[in-house]
Amino acid sequence: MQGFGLGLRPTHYPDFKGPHTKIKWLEAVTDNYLVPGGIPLYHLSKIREIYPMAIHGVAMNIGSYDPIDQQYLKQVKALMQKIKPALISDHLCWTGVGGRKMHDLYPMPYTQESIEHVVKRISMIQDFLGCELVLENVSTYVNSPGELKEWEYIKEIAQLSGCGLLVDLNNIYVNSRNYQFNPIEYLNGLPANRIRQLHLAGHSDMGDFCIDTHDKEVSNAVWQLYKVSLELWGEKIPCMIERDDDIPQLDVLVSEIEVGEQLVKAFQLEMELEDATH
Amino acid sequence: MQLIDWQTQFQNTVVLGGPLWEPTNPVKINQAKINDQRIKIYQNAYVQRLTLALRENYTVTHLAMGDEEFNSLATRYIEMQPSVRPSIRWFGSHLSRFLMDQLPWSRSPWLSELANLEWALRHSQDAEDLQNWTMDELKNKTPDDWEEEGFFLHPSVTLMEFKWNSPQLWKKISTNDLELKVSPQRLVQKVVVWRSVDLACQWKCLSTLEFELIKALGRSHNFFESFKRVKRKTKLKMDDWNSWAAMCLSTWVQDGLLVKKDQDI
Repeated sequence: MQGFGLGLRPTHYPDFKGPHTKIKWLEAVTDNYLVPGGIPLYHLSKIREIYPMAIHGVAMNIGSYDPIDQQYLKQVKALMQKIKPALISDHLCWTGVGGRKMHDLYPMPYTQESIEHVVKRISMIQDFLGCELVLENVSTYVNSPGELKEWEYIKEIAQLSGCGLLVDLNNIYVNSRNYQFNPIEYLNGLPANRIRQLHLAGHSDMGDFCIDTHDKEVSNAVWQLYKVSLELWGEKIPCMIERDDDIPQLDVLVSEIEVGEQLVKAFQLEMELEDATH
Repeated sequence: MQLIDWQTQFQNTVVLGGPLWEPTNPVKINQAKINDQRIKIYQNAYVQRLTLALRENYTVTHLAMGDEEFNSLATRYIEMQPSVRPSIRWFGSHLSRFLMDQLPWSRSPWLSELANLEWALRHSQDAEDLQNWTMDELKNKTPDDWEEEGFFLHPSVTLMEFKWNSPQLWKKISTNDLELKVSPQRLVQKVVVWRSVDLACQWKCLSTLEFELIKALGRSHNFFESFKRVKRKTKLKMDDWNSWAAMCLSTWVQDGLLVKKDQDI
């Protein structure tokens, strides 16, 4: 899985009957395909024959104090065996406790207790799935208790558990606005050797805070963060445009990929010039 | 704060309202104020997301009820039937029963039937894939082979009985066909819902006899046994029972309603 990818959404199924020059891979939402069979799996299997694929879940509930849902993990593993994705990811968050499912990505407390809890669960899940689990940072709106900064928390979890990281640059930007920190400090604080994938998305700017709506084009501020990420981690990390609501025609999303490609080209040129002058 | 306390309190605040946490440190008072404002983002998202899931799972019931009424239904349903399955695809599985039991909707029983039909259609979309019986197989195999291999209903099949003209209402609303003059009225009818071989999710009405025969086949998997049972039970006089039964079987096979046992796909 290399270059720029796109989130696979049912409205674009007909667009993926053949390869696309700009879209190198696709990311499917795991939970949409944890069904016995039928139409969703038919489309997914057909598209998988053409495109490399990652699967990205929203319901592993990895941070919850509820027991790990074994049935859910079995379904994820069955999907993995069917689709053979290049990468499997979910979110570093919790989605419900006491058996209730809230269908949202809730913030973890940035504490040592929480780190130990999550690390233990990641190890169990990785053992069960037989592969590395990749976790995404989430956007949040309320101050979590805890003595650590968000990036310190993520770094420690990645290093202790051996999980990969999916870095959502939009979520970092949203949180930097909501909690008034420097997003570049965040990027600098992440362990480069554990980063497996990037997400780029849009948000709604409410003035004194932002909401991660995933229904708009990538903002200039997030593109700037992408440029910083190229300088820090290079251009080899697969990067994806993610749109969950108000999903436009495919060519609109492709034009965003082209913006990203331009930034990669400019970065590569800069590197070549730097090499030439040294 | 312990993880368990944070998560319990956070979830309760999202569902029930109230402050997220009371700071003991005066420096954190400002943070607490911000939290109390921003927890609303989570509270709104919770209701909106589940309401949207119900709308997507019950598009026709939503259209039949209108935004205001459906939102009122969704709010009460979310409160009384919280989601317990990881995938939001399954949220709303009890909506038909809920409409039947709860006032004021229980006064319009056709709404419950409409929701039930939609849930069956939803089920047909992603039910398990199994190899269908084909007409060639039916012709080329002997009745002994039929018995050996058995006739099983395709996992996407749901057999339904209605007391109202809900299927016709569904058709009118889903196709937005203004020419169709249909309003809710009592009409006892039997319907089969399924996904065809070309992945079309659909329903059709069956006669009482055909419905009884396919229902019996779904239980026994043996065509001759089912046929004999229905024939004995109905006491109807029909000139040619055998050709009627053969016609039923071939129609079901052509429609993709029947599969064989012991499949490993």
